[in-house]
Amino acid sequence: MILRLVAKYRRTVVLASAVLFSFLLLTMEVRREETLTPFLKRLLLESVSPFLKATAYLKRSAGEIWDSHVDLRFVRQENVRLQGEVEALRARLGAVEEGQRENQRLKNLLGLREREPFHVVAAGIVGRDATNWFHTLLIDRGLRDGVERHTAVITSAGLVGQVVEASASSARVQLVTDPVSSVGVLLQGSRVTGLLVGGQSGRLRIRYLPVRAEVQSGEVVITSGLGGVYPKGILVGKVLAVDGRRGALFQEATVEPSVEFSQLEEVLVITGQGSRPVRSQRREE
Amino acid sequence: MIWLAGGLLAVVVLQTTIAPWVQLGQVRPDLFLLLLYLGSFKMNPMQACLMGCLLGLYEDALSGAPLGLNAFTLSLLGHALVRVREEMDQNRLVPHLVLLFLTGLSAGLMTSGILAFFGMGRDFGESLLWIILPGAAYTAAVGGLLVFGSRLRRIVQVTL
Repeated sequence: MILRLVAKYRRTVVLASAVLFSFLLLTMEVRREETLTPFLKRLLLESVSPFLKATAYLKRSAGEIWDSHVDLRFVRQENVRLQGEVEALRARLGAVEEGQRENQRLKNLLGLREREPFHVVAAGIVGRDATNWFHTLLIDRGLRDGVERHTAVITSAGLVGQVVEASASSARVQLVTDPVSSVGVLLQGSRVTGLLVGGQSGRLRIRYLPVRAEVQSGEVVITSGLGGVYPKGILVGKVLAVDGRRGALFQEATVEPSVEFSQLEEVLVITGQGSRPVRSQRREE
Repeated sequence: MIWLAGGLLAVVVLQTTIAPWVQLGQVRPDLFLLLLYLGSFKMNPMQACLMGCLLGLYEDALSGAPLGLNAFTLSLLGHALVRVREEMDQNRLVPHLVLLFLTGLSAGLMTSGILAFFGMGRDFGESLLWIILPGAAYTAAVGGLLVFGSRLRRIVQVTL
């Protein structure tokens, strides 16, 4: 009887099952039940991961061949410009070294603790977010390389985001421009803290800036170290404009990120600071 | 089945590595939706629904979306697409463009609704302006080109 009914309403049963299955997965994911969904997500990701890695490798190789063997039009001009830059930097180096020595001397005098260097793992980007709703990247390093959830990701230009999912050989990085991303930041000039949030438009904004703080356009924005994911002092960008509405409790500012997210090819994942890995630091906290 | 596996693999690679190159503003064409649209021409509602579910699961796994979000949307759209297609004049390009745009729009509105239902809602106006409408238009344009290209190929084959 039941089988006959199922056969009769086959289409409806299949549609209802697919929709119900998806809805159940969604509910489990939202409730963060660490059973089926992470396993299924990892399984799906690992099944296509070799193809994504192969494509990324081919893309990178083709780019390298093009840059180093074919597109040499501007090499001479670039060489002359770089030689000039080297001369200028050499001249500045002496002054910087002197400043560094003075800085060290004063730190010793005040008994300040030296900031420990980061331990980083370099990772290549193998894919970008498949939808328009989220701003994430897929990298070719995972748990096997010490990359865990909630580890900060940077480049030499500044902050990129944090790892939100990690499987054995790959991980997903949520960019700071993602609409659900939030980072505690510090404005270097005015020394006020705020919360950097992303948005659907891709713009970065700092919220909850004290209304009396004198925030200037062009001020450098760095991570505040509050929140426990991002270490203090990583460059984020600079203030483009300040929006202080009359009667509002807080000011807001628009930020221009220091990283060009659309041109990222490699990133650095901070796996620890000093001699300790991230995992043991978290346990201590 | 072979074309589905091949299509899925191609879409996975293209959507995550090549589509960002053709991104306009914040949007890129939804190739998963396009594969479902083109696949629905060869399928019955049941098959299209299952295909939508599978494509959606992969799309979720390859994005920051919670697993099930796109599977839910594409399952419903797969089923609906076959039903609408049966009533449509498939030889003209304009109905394809309209249907593609409406499919993209429905997918966007459903995603926005589901995210809001699960407490992950975005500013609706901002989403509509930056993601839903431009995304639907871009996907429809790319889909229209594909449909037009396949039609052109058929005409050339017949002529030769």
